[in-house]
Amino acid sequence: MDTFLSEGEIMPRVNARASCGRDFHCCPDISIAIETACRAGYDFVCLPLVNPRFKREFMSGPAKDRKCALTRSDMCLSSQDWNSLVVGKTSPWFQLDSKHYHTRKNSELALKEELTWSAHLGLPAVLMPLRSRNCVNLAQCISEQVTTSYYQQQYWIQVPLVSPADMCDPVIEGMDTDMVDDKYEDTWAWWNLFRSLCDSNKRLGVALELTADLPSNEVMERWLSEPVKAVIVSTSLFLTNHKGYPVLARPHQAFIKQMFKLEAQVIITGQDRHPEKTIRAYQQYIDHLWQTQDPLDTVSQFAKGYEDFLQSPLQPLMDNLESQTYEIFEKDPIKYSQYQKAVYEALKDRVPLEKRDEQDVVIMVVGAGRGPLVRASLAAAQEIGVRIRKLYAVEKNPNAVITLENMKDEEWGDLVEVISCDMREWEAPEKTDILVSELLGSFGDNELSPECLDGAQRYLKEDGISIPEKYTSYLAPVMSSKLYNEVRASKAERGKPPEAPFEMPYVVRLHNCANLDKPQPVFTFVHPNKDVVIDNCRFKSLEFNVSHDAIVHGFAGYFDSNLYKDVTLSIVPDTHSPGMFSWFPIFFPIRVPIMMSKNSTVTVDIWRRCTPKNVWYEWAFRCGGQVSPIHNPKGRSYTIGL
Amino acid sequence: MPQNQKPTAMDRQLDVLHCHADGGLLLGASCLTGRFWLGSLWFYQTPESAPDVDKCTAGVQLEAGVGDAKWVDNTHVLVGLDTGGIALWNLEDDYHTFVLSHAAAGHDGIVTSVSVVCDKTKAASSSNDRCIKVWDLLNTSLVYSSQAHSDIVSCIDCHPSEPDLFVSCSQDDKILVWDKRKPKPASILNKSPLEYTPTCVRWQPGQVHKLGVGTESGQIALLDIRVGVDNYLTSTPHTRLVHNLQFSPDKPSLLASVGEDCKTAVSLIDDESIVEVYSDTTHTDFVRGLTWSSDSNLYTCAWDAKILCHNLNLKSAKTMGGSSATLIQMNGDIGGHGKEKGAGDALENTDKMKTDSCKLSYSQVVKVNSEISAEG
Repeated sequence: MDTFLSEGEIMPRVNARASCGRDFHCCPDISIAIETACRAGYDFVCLPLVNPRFKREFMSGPAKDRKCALTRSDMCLSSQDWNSLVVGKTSPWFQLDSKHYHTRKNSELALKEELTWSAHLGLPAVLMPLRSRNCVNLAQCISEQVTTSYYQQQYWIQVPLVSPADMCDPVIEGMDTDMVDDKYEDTWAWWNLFRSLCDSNKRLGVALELTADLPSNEVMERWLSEPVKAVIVSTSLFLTNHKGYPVLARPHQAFIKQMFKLEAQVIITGQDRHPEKTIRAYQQYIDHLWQTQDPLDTVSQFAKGYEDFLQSPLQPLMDNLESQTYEIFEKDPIKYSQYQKAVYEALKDRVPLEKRDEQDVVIMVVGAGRGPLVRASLAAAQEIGVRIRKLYAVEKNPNAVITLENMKDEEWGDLVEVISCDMREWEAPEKTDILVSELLGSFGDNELSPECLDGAQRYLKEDGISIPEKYTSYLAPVMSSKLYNEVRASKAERGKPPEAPFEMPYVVRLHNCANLDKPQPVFTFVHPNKDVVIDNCRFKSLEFNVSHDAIVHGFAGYFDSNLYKDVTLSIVPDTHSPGMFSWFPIFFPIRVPIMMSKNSTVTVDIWRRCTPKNVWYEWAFRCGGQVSPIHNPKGRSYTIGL
Repeated sequence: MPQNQKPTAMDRQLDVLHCHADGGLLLGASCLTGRFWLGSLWFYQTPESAPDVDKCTAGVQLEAGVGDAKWVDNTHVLVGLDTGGIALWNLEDDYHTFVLSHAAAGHDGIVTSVSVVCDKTKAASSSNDRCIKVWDLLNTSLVYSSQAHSDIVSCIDCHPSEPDLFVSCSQDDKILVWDKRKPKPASILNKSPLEYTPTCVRWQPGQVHKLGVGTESGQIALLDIRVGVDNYLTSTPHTRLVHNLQFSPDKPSLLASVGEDCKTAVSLIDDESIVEVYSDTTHTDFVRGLTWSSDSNLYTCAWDAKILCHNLNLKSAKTMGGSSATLIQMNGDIGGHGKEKGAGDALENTDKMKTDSCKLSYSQVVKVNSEISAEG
């Protein structure tokens, strides 16, 4: 079990409606602009900070001494309105990366002037476009701004899904437009360059501009791992339905719905192209898309509010779980029914039909907790009609034992014996037919199930059955600047090296994240372990390929398990047990993200290291010329105590 | 406000200036700062009166700043607005009243320039929305629209004698020559003589293939659009972006240029070179509008709120609209003109009314709206 902190510290945020803004490229009268937008149901407006035509000279000449207000007064709106309703836009004439010195320099100084003004107004965000890959100087200016300004303003960087050059009409002589599939310039690479130069600062977000044509799915999926704050939709992209209302084509709908999952807002830009239905119709349509999103599946519903929230994996061997934690895990609708099925199948094989009257069995539940596996085992036995001579419920947490003792008194009677003892130390009075345990973590063996079961298999009969009988961990490279930033923001504990936050795995509901390749199996453990000398250390090298330019921010870990024969549990995305929420994935971070060009390979080396006292993982990455140091050597930042 | 009412004040930034065929002067002005970013259109039968509000023959307030405006014929004016809108205004009542003939929503960005096709039936426009569009002037209906540039289109110019030809230039560093008769109408002009990005383009009158181009660095060039013809001339009369170019209609070898260095220059183009024959630096802000009244007389207007009359023979410039002592009521001024009596008071009052209505908190409006929609 490995889901989350039991405290409800993050409240799930459920919005009843889409958040939709209206963009104005020109704003003769700010009060009219805001009033019309608000009356039409929009939640905010995007307005130029300064008249978009009002160019300034900062270098020399008479125009430098222009005596004139820069823009309209802050007193045009209340400060509450400025900081809840208005996203500021920088002037369209800025060319921070112009080759021409005066153009560039004037743009730099004017940008600074506008950003200072927007901070003065207290605007929640400033919107500015990336026009090409040529954005290095803009990145420098923004980076400087982000570093020096104290105000927690966001910068929304507008990036088109397809570059304007690729969106040009085929009207130019000699320009061949019928090219192959990857004709599009990769606009994600623009953003990646810009964001990397700005050290993936948390205050930078993306405002994705929806384009008439969309790139392939693989290209677009990378945006799912980016901090997409808004999707800009031009009224020119809307079609008209038979009732005259504006609607979007299916691929556009699908993309917006995907972005809704990241809680992106929508910004409607462009003139009203459905004047009979008014500008409100676009907002209503976007809200309609919001309302008709697929309902959340059980797991997503359960995980609401925990998306991308990093948690240290549980250490049930070291710490005793709390009542609340038990309660949450016991609510899983799938896990215990799978266990019941597994016990049922095991009993079926153990006691043939003709011997069910004379032969009975012993079952031991090790790590019984508050008894859900005891209940599942008893139910399975009743269902198949096999008699249980004794069920031993072994639990080391004295608080959980209280619950078990009460259950025994009230429900189970003498059939069940409660043993308050660590399973590794218990001297069993007899051997068992079936050993049932739930000691799996998100990465399979990371809650030390192998070590515990190795200790407990002493009292398993020679031909006895362990449930689970096998489990395997998996790894896959993921891109997520969000997680990277979360890890970076956490501080190393006292006595740990400064890189400690990057040298431990986290349990996390992966959300703002893109999978770059299919998960591959890592470590497998089989129980009972019949090896002469048991060695639970492991080492594995895995190679992954990426199909597009990407950044690896870390590796997602999963597991699957055969409880008994083909009765399985899985949190590997492709085979995930439907509706099971007991385990979120695990995330292994990287100190320095790995830049990968398309069709290149990244190798991950991962070790499971053991001593009599503890267990830990070490990991390292290789890609082209880049080699990371081995993370967590000798378990200096993170170990799991035995 | 009735459409034909003269505004009470001149907008500060004077953007557009065009001589009327019979001697009047068309002026387009914008207010780019202050509370309201509006514009206005003016006609002065005696150019010397401009930009005096009281002495205008006709004037009308517009919903937004004037990006560009052109005469279509004796009475019709085509206007491109900062809203992206395209409007055709008619001067009626013996030039005393502007009446709106037609308007179109136009572009999704600021209109950067408009140009009338030589047969006067159509006009072209360019915009920040990366598009160029062609309009039927009968009813301002859209005839053609194309996004061939990948950035702001800064200027478009229709050929003075060929109705199917026009040229556009953009911040994407391209100059496109358009010929509507071809299946793929646009072709990229070799702009290698230019050091930096072109900012404005103008056909040379009387020539089929020659173009004047201004750039962001202050360079001007005369280019030939024919493929393989490699004769070009360049010169750099400005130290900042060239915003506007005009060939003298009577003497097309004279090219006047204005720019963001606040300078007005006139260059003489001969077969071998471009030579500056006149320059003036009286303007104190970006010079925007430029029009020839004769081959030796030139008007310019600028964001310093002044209109200058340049006499090439005398090599001198004169500020129009009376002596500089005359105070002109100006929108978007930070100066203390608001204390004046009369027209100024009316303006102050409307301003105040608008101020009051602004003070409502729109956060409240949003709240009310979301409640309504939650119930619905």
